[in-house]
Amino acid sequence: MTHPGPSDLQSFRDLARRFATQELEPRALEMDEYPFRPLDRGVLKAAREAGLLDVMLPEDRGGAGPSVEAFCEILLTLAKSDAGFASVVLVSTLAQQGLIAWGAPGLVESRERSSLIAFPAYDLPSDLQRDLKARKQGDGFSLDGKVEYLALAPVADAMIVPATLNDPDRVGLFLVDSAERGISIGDPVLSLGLRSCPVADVGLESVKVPAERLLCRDAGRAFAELAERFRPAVAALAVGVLTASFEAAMSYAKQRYQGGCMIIEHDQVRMMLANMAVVAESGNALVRAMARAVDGGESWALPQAGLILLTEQVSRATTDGVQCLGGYGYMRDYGQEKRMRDAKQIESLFGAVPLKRLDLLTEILGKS
Amino acid sequence: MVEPDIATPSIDTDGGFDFDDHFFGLVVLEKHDPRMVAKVRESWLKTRRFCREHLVPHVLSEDRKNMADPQYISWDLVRLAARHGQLSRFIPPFFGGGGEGAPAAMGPYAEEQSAVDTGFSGMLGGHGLGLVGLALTFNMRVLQRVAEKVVAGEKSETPYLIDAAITEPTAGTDVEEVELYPKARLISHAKKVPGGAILNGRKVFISTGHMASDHLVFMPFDLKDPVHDYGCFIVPKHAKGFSLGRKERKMGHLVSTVSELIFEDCFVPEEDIVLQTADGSGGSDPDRFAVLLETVLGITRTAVGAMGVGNARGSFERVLALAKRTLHKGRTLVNQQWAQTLLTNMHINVVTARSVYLESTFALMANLEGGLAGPLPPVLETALARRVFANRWFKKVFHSEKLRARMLDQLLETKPEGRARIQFMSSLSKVVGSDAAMENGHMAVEFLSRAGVRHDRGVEKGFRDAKLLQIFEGTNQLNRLNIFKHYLGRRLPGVKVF
Ligand SMILES: Cc1cc2nc3c(=O)[nH]c(=O)nc-3n(C[C@H](O)[C@H](O)[C@H](O)COP(=O)(O)OP(=O)(O)OC[C@H]3O[C@@H](n4cnc5c(N)ncnc54)[C@H](O)[C@@H]3O)c2cc1C
Ligand SMILES: Cc1cc2nc3c(=O)[nH]c(=O)nc-3n(C[C@H](O)[C@H](O)[C@H](O)COP(=O)(O)OP(=O)(O)OC[C@H]3O[C@@H](n4cnc5c(N)ncnc54)[C@H](O)[C@@H]3O)c2cc1C
Repeated sequence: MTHPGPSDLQSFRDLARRFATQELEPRALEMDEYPFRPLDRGVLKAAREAGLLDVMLPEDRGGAGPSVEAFCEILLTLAKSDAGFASVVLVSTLAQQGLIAWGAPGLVESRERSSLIAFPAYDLPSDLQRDLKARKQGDGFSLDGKVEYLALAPVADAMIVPATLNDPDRVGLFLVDSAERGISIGDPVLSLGLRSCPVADVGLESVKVPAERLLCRDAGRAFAELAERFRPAVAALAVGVLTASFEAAMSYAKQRYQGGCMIIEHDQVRMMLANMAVVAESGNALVRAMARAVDGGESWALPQAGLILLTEQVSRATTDGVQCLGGYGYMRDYGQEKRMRDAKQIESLFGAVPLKRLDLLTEILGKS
Repeated sequence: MVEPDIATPSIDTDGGFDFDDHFFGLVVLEKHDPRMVAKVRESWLKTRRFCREHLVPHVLSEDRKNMADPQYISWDLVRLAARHGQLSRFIPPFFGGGGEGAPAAMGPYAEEQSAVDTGFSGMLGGHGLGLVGLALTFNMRVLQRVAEKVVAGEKSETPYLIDAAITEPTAGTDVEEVELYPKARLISHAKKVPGGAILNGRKVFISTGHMASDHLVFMPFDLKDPVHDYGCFIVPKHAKGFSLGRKERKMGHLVSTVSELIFEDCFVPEEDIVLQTADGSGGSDPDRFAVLLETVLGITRTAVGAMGVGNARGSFERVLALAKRTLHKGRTLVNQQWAQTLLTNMHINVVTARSVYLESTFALMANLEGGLAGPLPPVLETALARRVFANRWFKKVFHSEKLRARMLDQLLETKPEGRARIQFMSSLSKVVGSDAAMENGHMAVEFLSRAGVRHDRGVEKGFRDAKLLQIFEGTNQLNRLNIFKHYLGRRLPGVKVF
C-alpha cells in the first residue's frame, strides 16, 4: 500500500478545500432539501471534473492510488461543508473499489469511471440483506426480490447488490445496470440526514444478469474486507461534521449575549464546547491512526473500535452543538441541526451500532 | 437485517400499556381520592384513544408535508383536534370546556400525546401555555372571553387557538429566570396611553403563532425595571400595528408552527390589557411577576417532562414493534439478549423519568396555594353552573377586580419553601424527561440503523422532535442552574447562582 507523504496530503487537502468552499458551502442547505428539490447535477459534474470521484484509482489510471489516509483527508474536509455530498464521494468510491477488487478486468476497465454506482453502504457487513434471490438461468442469472435502502440508487447508472445464491446462506454480489428490464427504483427515501446522498428501495423482477456480472460468490467475506478498509473513511465523515459543528458553536458563543455576558463566558457552554473539542481533537488523530493501520495492512480491531467510538461520540457531541445555539440551533437556517442529523445518519453506515460492537468482539475472539 | 414494512404505534403496539401497570402513585391515591383519580383515568384513556385511533394516520404524512413546503400549515390537524375537543379539554365545564383540568391529569395526557406525536403535543402546547399564562393572571373577564371562544371555535371550521409570546430575539434564557431580567437586553416594551397601551418590539419562536387567533403577549412597561412593571396583553391577529413575521423552518415539531411576532405601535385597548403588575390591578406584592412567571413555568416544565417521557416511550414502542418482526442472522431481534437489554434500557429511561414528572405534579399540588390541587367541586360541573357563569350579574362579581385581587393574593401566599420545591421539581421533570427522550432517540436510531433513519418508519422523527425538549421552556442548562438554586442554593448562604 502507498503512504502519501506530507506534501501529497497537503495537495489533497487543498483540492478538497477548494471544492468544499466553492461548490459545497454555498449549496449545502439547498442540497439538504432533497428529495423535495432536485439533486444538483452541477455539483456532481464539478466533483467528477475535479477528480474527486476517482481519487482512489491507481495512479496509472488517473487516480492518486489506494491510500485510505489520503481519502480520509478529503472526506474530513468535504464533510465539514456538506457531509451529504461527502458521502456521495464515499459511496461511489466504495462501489468503485468493490468493482476493482471483485470484477473481471474487462468489466472493471469499462466501468470504473463511467458514472455513479449504487452500493448497499448501510448494510452490516456480517449480515447483508437477503431479500434478493439469484437463480441460475442459462449462462447467467435471473434476479428476483428487493434491495432495501440502496445508497445512490436514484442517481446511479448501475448498482452493486447482494443476492442469495442457490443456498440461502450464500450471498453473492452482482453488478446490475439500473436501466435493465425488470428493475424498479422506488421514490427517493426521505432520511434523517445525509440527504444530498440519495437513497432508494429497489425492486427486481426476473432481471437477467450475465455470469461475469456476479462479482463474488462469498459476499460476506468480500464485503467485510472492503468495509474494513473504509471504516476510517466513515469515521472521517463523522469527525468532519463535528469539526464544523464545533466551529459554528464556538463562533456563535462568542457573539451571543445572554445572562449579562457573551455565552462563551458561561461554564456550561464552555463544558459543551470542551467536550466537542475533546472528540474533535482526538477524533482527528484517531482517524489518521485508523487509516494508517488500514494502509499498513495491520488493520483489524482498531478501525472497527475507532468507528464505533467516533460515530457514537460525534452523534452526541453534535447534539450539544445544537444546544450551544439554543433555539437558533434548532432552526434549519443555521445549518447546525443538519450537522446533528448528518452525524446520526453516519452512525448507520455499515449497520447498527450494537451489532458493530458484537462483531468487534467476535473478531477479537476469533483472533485470540 | 430483514426489516418489516412499517411501524406505526397503535393501541396494541405498546406491549399492552395499561394505567395500572404504570401509575402506582395514582393507584394508591385513588383509595384516598377516588373522584380525582377517576378523572385522571378518564382523561388518560380519552387521550390515548384519540391519539391512537385518530391522530396516528396523520403523523408521518403531516410531518412530511411540512418538510416539503415551508409555507404549509397543518390546519387539518388543528381541525381534527378541535373536532375531538382537544382545544378545550382543560377549560372548566362552567365555561363549556372539557373540565379535565385536574393537575394530576396533565402529565399522563402530555405523555400519551407525545408518544404518538411529540410535534402535535408541541402544537397544542403553545395553546396550552397561553391558557395557563392567562389563567394565572386571574383576569376572569378575559379568561372567560377566551375560553368561550375556544369552545365555540371547536365547532367551526376555523378553530380558535392562542399562543404565549415571551421570548425575544435577544433574550431567550434571560426571560426564563426572574433574576436574569435585569441583565437582559430586552427590546419589546409597552407604553401606557389613554384608553390602553401601545406595544413595540419583536417576539421570536412563538409556538402556534401562525395558527393563533389571539396572541397572549408578555412585555414590560419599563425597560429599565422590567420585573416590577410588567404587562400581559391580548393581541388579535388582525390588530393594527401587529404582523406575523417569518414562519420558522426547524428540525422537528414540524406540525407546530413557530413564528416571529412583530409589534409596531400596536394599540391594545384597556380591556385587552390582561395584567399590569405595577398598577395595583390585583395584589400589591412586588413579587407578583416572579410568582406569576414561576408558577407558569412550574406547570409547563412539568408538562415538558411528561412530553419527554412520551417521546422516549414512542421511540421505545416503535423499536419494539420493529424488533418483533426484524430478523438478524435468522432470529428475530426480540429474541436476542442484546436487543432485550437495549429495549429494557429504553424502558428504564421512560419509567424513571415518569416518576419524576409525577413527583413534580405532586409538588405543584402540595405546595401551590389557591385551590389548584384537585378537581372542581361537583356543583361547578353541572349545567346549572354553566348557566350561572353566563349570567350578566354573576359576571359582574366574577370579573371584579376585588375577586381577582383575592385570588392573586392567595397565589402569592405560596410559601417561599413551597415555591422553591415547585421550582426544583419542575426543572427536574423537564431536564430528566427531555434527556430521556434524547437518549432514547439516540438508542432507537442506533438499534435499527437503516430502519431507524428512514422517515417512513417513524423512528427518526422521534429523534428530531426530542431535541427541542432540551431547548424550550428554558434550556436544560438554565434548568440545571434552577435546580441548584432552589434545592441547594437556598441552603448555602452566600452562594449566588445568577
Ligand atoms: C421550536 C421552539 C418553540 C418555542 N416556543 C416558544 C413559545 O411558544 N413562547 C416563547 O415565549 N418562547 C418559545 N420558544 C423560545 C425558547 O423558550 C427559547 O429558545 C429558549 O428559552 C432558549 O433561548 P434562546 O433560544 O435565546 O437561547 P440562548 O438563551 O441564547 O442560549 C444559547 C445557549 O447559551 C446557554 N446559556 C444562555 N444563558 C446562560 C446562562 N445564564 N448560563 C448558562 N448557559 C446559558 C443556553 O443554555 C444555550 O445553550 C421556543 C423555541 C423553540 C426553538
Ligand atoms: C460482597 C458480596 C456479598 C455477597 N453476599 C451474598 C450472600 O450473603 N449470600 C449469597 O448467597 N450470595 C452472596 N453473594 C453472591 C452474589 O449474589 C453473586 O456474586 C451474584 O449473584 C453473581 O453471581 P457470580 O458472582 O457467580 O457471577 P456470575 O453469575 O458468574 O456472573 C458473571 C458475569 O456474567 C454475567 N452473566 C451470568 N449469567 C448470565 C446470563 N444468563 N445472561 C447474561 N449475563 C450473565 C453476569 O451478569 C456477570 O456480569 C455476595 C457477593 C458479593 C460480591
